[in-house]
Amino acid sequence: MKIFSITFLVAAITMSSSLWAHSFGHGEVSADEILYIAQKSAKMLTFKDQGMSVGKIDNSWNTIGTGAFKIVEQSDLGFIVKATNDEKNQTLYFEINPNGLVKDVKDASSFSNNHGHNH
Amino acid sequence: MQIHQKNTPLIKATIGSIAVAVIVSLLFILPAEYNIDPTGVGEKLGLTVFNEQVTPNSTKQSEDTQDFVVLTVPAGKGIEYKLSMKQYQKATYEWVTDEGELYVDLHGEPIGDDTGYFESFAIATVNEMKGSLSAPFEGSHGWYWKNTSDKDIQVQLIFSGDYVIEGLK
Repeated sequence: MKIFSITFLVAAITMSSSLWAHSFGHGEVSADEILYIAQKSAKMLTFKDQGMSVGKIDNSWNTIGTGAFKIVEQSDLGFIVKATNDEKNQTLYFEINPNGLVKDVKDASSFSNNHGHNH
Repeated sequence: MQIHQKNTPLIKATIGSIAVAVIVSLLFILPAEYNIDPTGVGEKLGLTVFNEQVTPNSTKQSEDTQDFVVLTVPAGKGIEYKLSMKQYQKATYEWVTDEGELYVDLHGEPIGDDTGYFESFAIATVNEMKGSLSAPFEGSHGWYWKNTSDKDIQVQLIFSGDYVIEGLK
């Protein structure tokens, strides 16, 4: 009985480490929210330069529908959302961390030079 | 010798607990937490779904629509932009100025009330703000911005949720 109790206690402590890990994930957002954030970021960039690589973008991005925004990459570092503006023949890439913070927005040429592969 | 005998149960228990932890990790924790499933049990139990990746080039699209407006708050004056909302309807918002700070009062006025009563939800002097609003009562909800500078300031407001736009008032 004593061996069983000790075994149970040690196993419980060992396995509880997986529960502690969950505390780091509470700030993460869903894929739907990521697309919403990218679309909102595009609107904000039409208004003023937000310090992103792409700078201020054309007002036509305000009318770009949700269908133009797609998640093309997801990793532990976050998401990459690709958005296309057919009117201006422009493609933007939004780098968003797992918590939904937009880290950078690049145009296609700048993104391809730094990213190493195409989407 | 007695010390060795006292420690024997503890050593057995430790080895046993490690064995249990390893088995549980292989069967349940690794598949669920890290999508590593060497035994295949995790997939059969449906534990690997927690780590399914969004397929690259997927056509997953946002279903929310975003409204936006760019307003000018004249130097030394205030403007009000409102949404008609029923009780408990929710809206999310984010606004930013082109430069400089604005006094803002996010507030609501109950429908049918003609006493001038309003309830403030947030008051600040800032150059940007984001958040959400759940209407505590049916009525007209929105932002009053006041520009105390001597230069016109533009504000871009992006919002979405359940409401009917009343606009500038």
